[in-house]
Amino acid sequence: MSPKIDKKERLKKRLGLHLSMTVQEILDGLKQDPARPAEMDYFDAFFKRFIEPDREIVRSNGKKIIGIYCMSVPEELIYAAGALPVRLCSGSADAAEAGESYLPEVSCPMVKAAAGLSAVDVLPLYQSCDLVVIPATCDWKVKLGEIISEFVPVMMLDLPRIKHLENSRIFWYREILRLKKALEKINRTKITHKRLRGAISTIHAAQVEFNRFRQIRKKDVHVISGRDAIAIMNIYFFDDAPSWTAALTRLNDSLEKRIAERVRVTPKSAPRILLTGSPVVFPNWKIPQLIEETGGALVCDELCTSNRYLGDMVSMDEMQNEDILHSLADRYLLPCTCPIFSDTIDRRNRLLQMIEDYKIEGVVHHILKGCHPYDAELYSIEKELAAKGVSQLKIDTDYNPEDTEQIRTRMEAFIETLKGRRE
Amino acid sequence: MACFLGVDIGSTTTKLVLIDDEEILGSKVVPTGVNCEDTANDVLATILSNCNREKDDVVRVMATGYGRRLISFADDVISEITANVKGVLHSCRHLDGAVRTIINIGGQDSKVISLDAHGVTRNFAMNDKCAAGTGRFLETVTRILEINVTDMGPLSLTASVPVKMNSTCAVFAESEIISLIARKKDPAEIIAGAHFSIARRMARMARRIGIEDNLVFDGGPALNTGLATALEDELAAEVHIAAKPQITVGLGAAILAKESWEKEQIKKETN
Repeated sequence: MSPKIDKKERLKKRLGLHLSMTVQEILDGLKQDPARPAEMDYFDAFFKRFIEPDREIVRSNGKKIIGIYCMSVPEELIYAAGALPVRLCSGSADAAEAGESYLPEVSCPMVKAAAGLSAVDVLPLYQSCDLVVIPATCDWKVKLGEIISEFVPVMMLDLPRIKHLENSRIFWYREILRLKKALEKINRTKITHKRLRGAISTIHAAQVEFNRFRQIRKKDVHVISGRDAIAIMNIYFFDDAPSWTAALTRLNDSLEKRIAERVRVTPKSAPRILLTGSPVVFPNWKIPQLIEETGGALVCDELCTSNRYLGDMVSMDEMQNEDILHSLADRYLLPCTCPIFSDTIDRRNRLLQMIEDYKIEGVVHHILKGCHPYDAELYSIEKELAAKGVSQLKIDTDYNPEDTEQIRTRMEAFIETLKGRRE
Repeated sequence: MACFLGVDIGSTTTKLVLIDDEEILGSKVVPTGVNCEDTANDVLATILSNCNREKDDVVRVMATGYGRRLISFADDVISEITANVKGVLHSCRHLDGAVRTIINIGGQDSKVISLDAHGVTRNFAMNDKCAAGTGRFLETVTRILEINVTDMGPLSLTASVPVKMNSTCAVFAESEIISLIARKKDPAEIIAGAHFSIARRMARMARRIGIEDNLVFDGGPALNTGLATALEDELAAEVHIAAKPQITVGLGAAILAKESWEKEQIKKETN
């Protein structure tokens, strides 16, 4: 057979092929969807880079790249240091398969994918970061740093889990200071008051535009698919904030036109669905696609990889540098509704608010295998939502597409039930 | 002169291999058909006449495969795992280093056998219950795409990116492939996709029991170069293809027949 090839090269070739097959299938699917706005092309271009020969997803233009996981690393600090933040959380089943040898069987596919992409040099981004910052959120992320430090420089941030305690706020503030120093050292620069305020304004602009996008999704006319909404946020991971904001502005303008012209992407009768739970990241669009393929309208999500990520703003009324840093630290601790925190009140309240704002008829709980915090929190969340009369469906799955048809049947039944409830 | 027969009655094809002390005298692969004993008898007659031997020259017959107990003229039966190991070790005896892993894909089953450094079976895994990801699946693909089995390999190697196929189930695959054709996917890419989905399934099975070099691939589908290449990519390891991969199990049975006969002769002499 073929001549002797290094094992590392073989693993790289294998993951490369798998990624190409998966991404090509998705791109083919997108081409078949006539209802997508043309403004999505900007975002799709990033997904296409996954299968281009060099697979360079991020174009940093000489800036340092700071890889981040989860949603607790202040991007404002990274921008203020003159670097580009790139969120590395991945939804690749293929990468998860490649990462299986680094983590126990019961761990979640997201950390497996992170390990796989860090170890196998297939997407250069994962090995070329100048620093990877990982907040110690769930138990898997706590261990991820040590595992991938073989391949990239890693800095762990210690995130307190009882977030409302004053002790936690002080502790976390000090962690943010530690991060600031590390970023200053890597970029050989000082994060000045002025630059930090500038960076906060940059992210504010993105948040304002994203908020406009949310308002559009609240409208009765469902003008953008839930999958595309998740895709847009996913591109925020890789793009620099101003370019992304400009692209979203163009899309929002077009979507507002669609509302005026009543151009829908799902039938008027489609029940309005809220998706919550474990992260959904490209290329794992299994659940959002199934919701809409089986007749639902995915109008809202409460996912850390989508709606939750840009939701809350840094309060800007404090003028001193130290005060801004306090606001920044608070912003990345207090509003976060990740279930790794000890209480569920914030997430419960947020879900109930969303159900009202987006006129939600059914909630889908997405629980990835090994994602224990969401699973553990479901007990109280499900009970609370049920008490308010909300219909819910829990899906236990992972990134692997093999259970797609089984889930489709359950989803179809759920959507039918929601329609039945109206009568 | 004494010769020995291995009969491998598989789910799809029957393989007969006739050997003497030194070499393979003849072999044949035919569809198993309804009455496998009649089939085996007819084929044996052909092989014998081709190499100018008489039926009485055949001193021992060893049967293996799913239909091994249906052959009344067999002196003994042996599991296809043992026969497979024997046959592969013989046909790969010139390989540098020991064979440590055998991957066999048959008409309706597939297995991975792990050997120790001395060629003794350490562990093996087989597909359970269904024919997903076997030769039958490949047959389904050729039937839908209206191509020849022998063209599959070369054609698939022309594909740049194989199509992603989510099911290796011979039944579900049919609807999946039809929808791929409807999407105007290139047949070469569809076939390559089929090869990768089988290879990925085999790699998963292999990972369960652990794989080590050297790795040998046999069974009828090993004739398909596209599948062998896909397997190499999925296992991230070099894959050797057994010489005459379709008859290795039958050959193993024939060698086992020879060995058992020789043992008896030695016993007789010493008594």
